[in-house]
Amino acid sequence: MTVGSFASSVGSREVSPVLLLSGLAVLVLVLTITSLFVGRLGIGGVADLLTVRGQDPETFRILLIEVRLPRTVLALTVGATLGLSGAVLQGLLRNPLAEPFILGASSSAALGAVIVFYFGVAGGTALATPLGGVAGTMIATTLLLILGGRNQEPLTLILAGVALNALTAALTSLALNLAPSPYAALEIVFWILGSFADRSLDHLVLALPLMGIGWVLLFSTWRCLDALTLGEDAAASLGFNLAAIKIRAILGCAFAVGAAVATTGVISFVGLVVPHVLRPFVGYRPSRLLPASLLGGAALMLAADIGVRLIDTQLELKIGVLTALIGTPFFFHLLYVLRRSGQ
Amino acid sequence: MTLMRHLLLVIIMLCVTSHDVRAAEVPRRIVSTNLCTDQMVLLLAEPGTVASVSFLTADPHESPVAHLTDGIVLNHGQAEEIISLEPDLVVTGRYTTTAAKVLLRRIGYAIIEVDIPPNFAGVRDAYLELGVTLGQEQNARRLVDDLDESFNNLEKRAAGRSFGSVLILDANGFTVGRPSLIDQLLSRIGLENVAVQLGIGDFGQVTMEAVLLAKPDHMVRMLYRPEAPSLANQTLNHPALRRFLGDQPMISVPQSWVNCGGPYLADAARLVLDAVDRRRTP
Repeated sequence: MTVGSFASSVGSREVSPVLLLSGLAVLVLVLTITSLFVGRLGIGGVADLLTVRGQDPETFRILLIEVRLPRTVLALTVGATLGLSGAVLQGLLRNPLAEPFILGASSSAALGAVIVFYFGVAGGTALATPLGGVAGTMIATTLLLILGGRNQEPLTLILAGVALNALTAALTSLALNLAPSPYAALEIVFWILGSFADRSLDHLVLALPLMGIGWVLLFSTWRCLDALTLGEDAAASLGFNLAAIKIRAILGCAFAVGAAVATTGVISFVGLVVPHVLRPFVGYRPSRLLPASLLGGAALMLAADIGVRLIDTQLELKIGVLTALIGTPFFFHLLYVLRRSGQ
Repeated sequence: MTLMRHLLLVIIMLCVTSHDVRAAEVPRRIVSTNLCTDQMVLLLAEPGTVASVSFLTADPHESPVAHLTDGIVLNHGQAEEIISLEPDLVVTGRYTTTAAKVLLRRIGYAIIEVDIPPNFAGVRDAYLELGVTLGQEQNARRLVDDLDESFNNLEKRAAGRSFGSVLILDANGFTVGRPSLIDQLLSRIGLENVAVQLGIGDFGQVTMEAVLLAKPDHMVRMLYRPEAPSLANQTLNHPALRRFLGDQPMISVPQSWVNCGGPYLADAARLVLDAVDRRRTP
């Protein structure tokens, strides 16, 4: 079962790359502006915001630049990270169910970040927490590739992910319960469900460069991903150094997902849903899926973050609640299609 | 409310009378299992009669009377621990370790539950009532009279002056509205609680945006282990908040002073009043 054969059961709706990417870019732009101006008060809040701007420009500036901007840019970049790494992992492993959350890469990042953040490291800097996330993801993805072996069965890999998820979730919980901070045990909700609330420019400045490094590494695999649809041997015979490609993908995921999770917690299923929705539009070409998934992930995450602010709950909903509600039915649907196509 | 007050008074009087008759029955081995009742028994009971208090009270971050726990056994509110301490009176909170309470009561231990209502009259009544039970009525009366006097003095100092609005902002964006002891405390020293306008009840969360838009004149945080890394404490260090506060940092009140209704409320009120007073007249 590969992504290629999976394609035949869905049907192609290929559109021109320029049209697709510019369409997605416009969507991201619209959602970005919406995210900046729609707060928890909804559309009515926009009028309030403009009143504040007239009466008290300083407060307006602080509100927009220090509160809404970091939140919006983080939603955009973390969504892009998850979409992109989902697309690369699915192409590299030729497994339609691969993505950072299901494979346990995200929860490993959370474990790494939690250990560094709550227990500190000698002479630790603010950069230490995202780097803890990077280390966590790196260990997890390396472990998965070793466990998965050469011809990864989709379900073997998913089971390895389940085991990794269970282990890291338990260790994260243990670490938070042992942490010297009185709030730590309650903060597990943030780490397992994620949130963009009250994230600041400080967080953004730390996470962005690391995610940037990850994106460059992930994009550098694009040529090989197309060749890989023919199998690893075929790709090797076309001159690709598969070991090097895998290392780049591991490092790329580690930097991008590690930094993202260390900043906003684990956000599930975005990396699964986005590449699947977009795949028919790029003619099932893994390489062309990468930029589309980058933009698609950003759009989905921005929309979800606008959603959690508009849903009127006493405490703001964690974003992972919303993405799991979208992602889980999708996951079941994929399992159903996989079974029907003869697995 | 007045009916309740009268009823309480009657109960207190009854206790006073019975106390006179049964002077020998003043408890000599008191065990307390709740942070707030710990504070009460340590301040009220005759020294040496408190056999055990909860482990929280030995921690100065949690309790302002941690220094009084030297040499006292610490408990975790579990029935087994309490039985082995052989208490003649167990003092506990209404919502503390319910299962242990049921068990102890069934075995036949004397247990009293103290529930301090969120107002000054309630604090006064609770202290007086427990004072009577512990055979320390005079001690209790002196303590509540001191508390009243402190607040009367603070009220006199604040009378006729306006210090503007204040918002309690705690880790995770938690704040205190109405009805609550802290809200009453703020009103008594002439401060207007912004959380009330934001529709917060006794306890609730506000977003960073709501804080910025409400523009309180002063902000107060309850200091509780600020050095321990947590996302909760990170919210108080948000750059938006730092820019909003500028050169007027938040007023820090030790959380342990306001955790429980009691004499340390006056220290908290004095600290806040001193701080806003200094700002008004630089």
